[in-house]
Amino acid sequence: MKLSMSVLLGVLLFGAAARGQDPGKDEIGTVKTELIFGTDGELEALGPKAKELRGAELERLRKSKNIPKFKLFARLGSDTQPILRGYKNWAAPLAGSKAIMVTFQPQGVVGNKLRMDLELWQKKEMVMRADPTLDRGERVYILGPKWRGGRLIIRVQLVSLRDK
Amino acid sequence: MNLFRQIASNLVKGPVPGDAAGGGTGGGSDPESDAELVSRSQKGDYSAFDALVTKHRGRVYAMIQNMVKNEADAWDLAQEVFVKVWKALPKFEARARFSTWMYRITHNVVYDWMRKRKFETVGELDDNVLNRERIAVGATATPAHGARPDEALVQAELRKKIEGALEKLNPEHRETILLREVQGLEYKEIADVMDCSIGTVMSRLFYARKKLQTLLTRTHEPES
Amino acid sequence: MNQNRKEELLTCWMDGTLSSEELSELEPVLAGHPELQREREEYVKLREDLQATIPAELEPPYPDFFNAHLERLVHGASRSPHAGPGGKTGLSRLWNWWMVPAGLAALLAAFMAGTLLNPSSVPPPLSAATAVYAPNKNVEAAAVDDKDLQATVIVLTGLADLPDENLIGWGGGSHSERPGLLISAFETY
Repeated sequence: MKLSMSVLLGVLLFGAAARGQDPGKDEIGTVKTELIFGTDGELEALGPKAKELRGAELERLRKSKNIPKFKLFARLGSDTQPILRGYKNWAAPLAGSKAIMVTFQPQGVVGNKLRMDLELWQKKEMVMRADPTLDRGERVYILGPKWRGGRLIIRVQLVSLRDK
Repeated sequence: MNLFRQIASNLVKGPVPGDAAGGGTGGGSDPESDAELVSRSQKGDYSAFDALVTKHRGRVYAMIQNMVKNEADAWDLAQEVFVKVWKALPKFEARARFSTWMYRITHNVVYDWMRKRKFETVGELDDNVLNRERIAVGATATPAHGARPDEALVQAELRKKIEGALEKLNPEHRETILLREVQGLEYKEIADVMDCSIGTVMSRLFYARKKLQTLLTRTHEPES
Repeated sequence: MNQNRKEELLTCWMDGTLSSEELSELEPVLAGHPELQREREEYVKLREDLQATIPAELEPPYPDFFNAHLERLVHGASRSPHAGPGGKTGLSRLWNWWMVPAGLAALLAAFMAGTLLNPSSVPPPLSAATAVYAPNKNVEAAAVDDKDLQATVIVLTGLADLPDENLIGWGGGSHSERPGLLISAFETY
């Protein structure tokens, strides 16, 4: 009995120590980063992984005065990553590609909203820094660089946020 | 809205003037003016705090940049320093020297960052923890530190040599040298910043200087 | 003389900060090691080089943005329990249950007085507006609240076009080395 209690205590203490090791690594939410391409070309030219946007999300893009008009909008890739309490994390919506990357780091939680430091990187160059405040489910769109006659749009969504 | 169309201005204000050996006072800051700004900041006057930031950000950023050798991280860490300064202002006692207190916070922020990086990387934190590759990648986010058109080639080579030697010191030795020789702090101030005894400061200075001399001479001599 | 004392005196000697008594104490060491003079001369030169090459002050990149960004962080921090300066009023000490009505009224009066007399002492509400910055001066950046998209749109004008071969065909790879700083991420690839 004594031995099992010691073992249990040891496991609990070890677990506590491991968890408490770096609170900066606590995951406080998740962010989804998508790479959308607006083009007047054909979907087939974008490869098998490209998925054309449809329905309500397409309608909103078409209605927007800030998004250029294109024949079609396709999602080229996405990446969902945790938000770390004390660290900058990053997302690469096109797996294996450094062409477009996004970094994010929480700056503060006010009520249900999270303010983040958001950076857009093109290869090894940081091209934009912003500090949007997002509620769960809310998105920010970044009108990115031109490519192959079309335009890349980076969509960042706060998917989840842990309650305090 | 685009609030900040700013041409990158990496103003280098140069080393502390005067004799760092005899009269280095962490120089440049007017103690009375700091006291006034701190007092107003403590009452919640953000414009006074903003003025304090403008006045001291150069020193804080230089100190961090000289320690971490990465501009992107140095920028973020400098921000962290001033957030901590703001939060801790109610506890700051007017009779203390603001710049020394600020350096102390800078020291803590840098060492916390180094400890986190140690956890992330495999192996021990040693003198060579600052990987050259990492420095190069980080530097592209901001104008390159060394790319000043007016800089003579000889000066650039010398700086490269000295920076290389500094990087080979362990963080405590590097920081001691920077605080003394570059920032011009007195021994007691360095002890306060690094939370150690004056004796430890003297010992670190002694060994750091010897190591620097060894690294920077043409022929390597065995360390005594 | 013990080693610690010797190191201390030699360090001060290098800096020229020895008192005459301390110099006398060190004399035997200096006499026994004439190479120390040369070392001191070399170190003085090294210190000059250090001071000429390593900056004591260095403006952070985008200094205006540095201050503005900090202000936003600070005003967010002001809402934490351990608020910075100016977040409390002394009248909060009156917060006893039997003085609730008077305390509330007094608190309200103090807040109004504080706001009117010294507006900067009250942190402004945390604005939801997004600040945006582009380091490249050829790029214009603007954040717009887009009602149709029900989202913020950050419009970047003047970005370099992405070369043709940059995207498609790069498939595969994995996101290893998580979590990490950006620098680690680049090294992964």
